[in-house]
Amino acid sequence: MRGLFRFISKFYYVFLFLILEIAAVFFIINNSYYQGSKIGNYCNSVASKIFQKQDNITYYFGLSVENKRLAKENAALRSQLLTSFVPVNNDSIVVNDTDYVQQYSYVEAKIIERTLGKRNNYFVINKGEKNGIEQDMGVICADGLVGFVVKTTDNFSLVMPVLHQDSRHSVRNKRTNVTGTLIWEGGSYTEGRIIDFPSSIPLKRGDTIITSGFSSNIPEGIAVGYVDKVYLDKGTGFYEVNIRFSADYNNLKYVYVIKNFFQSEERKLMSNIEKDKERN
Amino acid sequence: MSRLNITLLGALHFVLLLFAQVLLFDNVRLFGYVNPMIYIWFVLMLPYKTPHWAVLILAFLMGLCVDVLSFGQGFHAVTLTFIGFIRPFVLNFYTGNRDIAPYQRPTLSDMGFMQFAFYISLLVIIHHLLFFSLDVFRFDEIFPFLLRLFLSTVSTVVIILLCDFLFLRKRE
Repeated sequence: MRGLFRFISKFYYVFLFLILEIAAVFFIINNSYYQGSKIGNYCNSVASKIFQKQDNITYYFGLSVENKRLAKENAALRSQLLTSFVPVNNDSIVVNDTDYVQQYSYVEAKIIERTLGKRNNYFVINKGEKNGIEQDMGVICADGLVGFVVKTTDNFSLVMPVLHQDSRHSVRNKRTNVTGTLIWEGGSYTEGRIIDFPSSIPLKRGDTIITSGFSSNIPEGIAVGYVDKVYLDKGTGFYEVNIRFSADYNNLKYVYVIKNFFQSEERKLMSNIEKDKERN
Repeated sequence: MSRLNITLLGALHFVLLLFAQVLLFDNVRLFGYVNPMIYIWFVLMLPYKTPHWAVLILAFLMGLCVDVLSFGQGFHAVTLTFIGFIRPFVLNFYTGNRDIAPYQRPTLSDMGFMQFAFYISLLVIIHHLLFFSLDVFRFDEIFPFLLRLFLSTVSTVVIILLCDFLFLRKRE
């Protein structure tokens, strides 16, 4: 017994080390999946208050850039207004406005904290359930695609941007209409990768990539990026494409969260597929 | 320096480095790869004669705080605790037969440039290697992994050397 005590007192810090490491590993296991509650609770905790304060201070430094971006976006939107159009021939234009039903509405939000250097990155935005944000809503910005909401609390939401290994977005080549899948393989936040573009349809450097609209949370035609490098995978017959993102995720301040009014309807339809799978 | 003073100084270092890391250096994102982790310095500069258990617990706490404040998922705690564990063995090479005053610290002016730079680089490389392995974990992403490791290590070491030179230099 005394030998045991002497052994423990001699190597006590090895045991302490092991105990602390086990505690830390438990912490990792609790946090490893984004829907595991801990990271979500982050939004409620002291951390978000600190970052809100930090944001209040650093906010002023980017204002001039942000103003220019907003002015540019306003100009683009203004040019789409009905008043910017002149009828070519008064007789031939008929506007049946009851033919249109609003599908998407947008909530503006500010990014208060983000990571970019990690393999799996997250953004925190300052709107939550109180503002009508729900899980799975799409998030875009003035320059392009951002990602979607994975977790909400009363006042904040956690966004999984395209800079995450679980991020999958259906995208389309604007010129040829070929669809593929956008993934991110780590590294620089300015570059993404598209897989599943068939090699039968040629691809050019500089082609614009937009969202395909196949996912219910992001509308069609949102800019994603531009084709930078193209590799041909001879084994599969598919292109592997490196793209430059059109949005600058480092300087991003304001984003839009998208509410899809038809989402529940689409979900109801999709649930049939799952039922079908269960049956087989 | 009394025991109380050194404890207060340690607490001050803890808070300063934690906030410098979370509010300042986590926002440094050169080329998307570089992410200096200056909070490691807190463990590296504890006095030579800090008891082993205190180094371990302080390292764990520091890692945990950084984790909670920066989506670390616990990786910072695991890696920094490991650094706290191997620090005494690495320092043994340097202290050897030297007489160490009660609250002497491993700093630039204490160890000399070459030795200090080597000590910092060695522990920072081990830390970053472990940290990025936990973060990435895939063989097919080995190139971005190595680039990230290299650039982050260089930036962390340079910033620690600079800070030590600016703030801890003995003024004769």
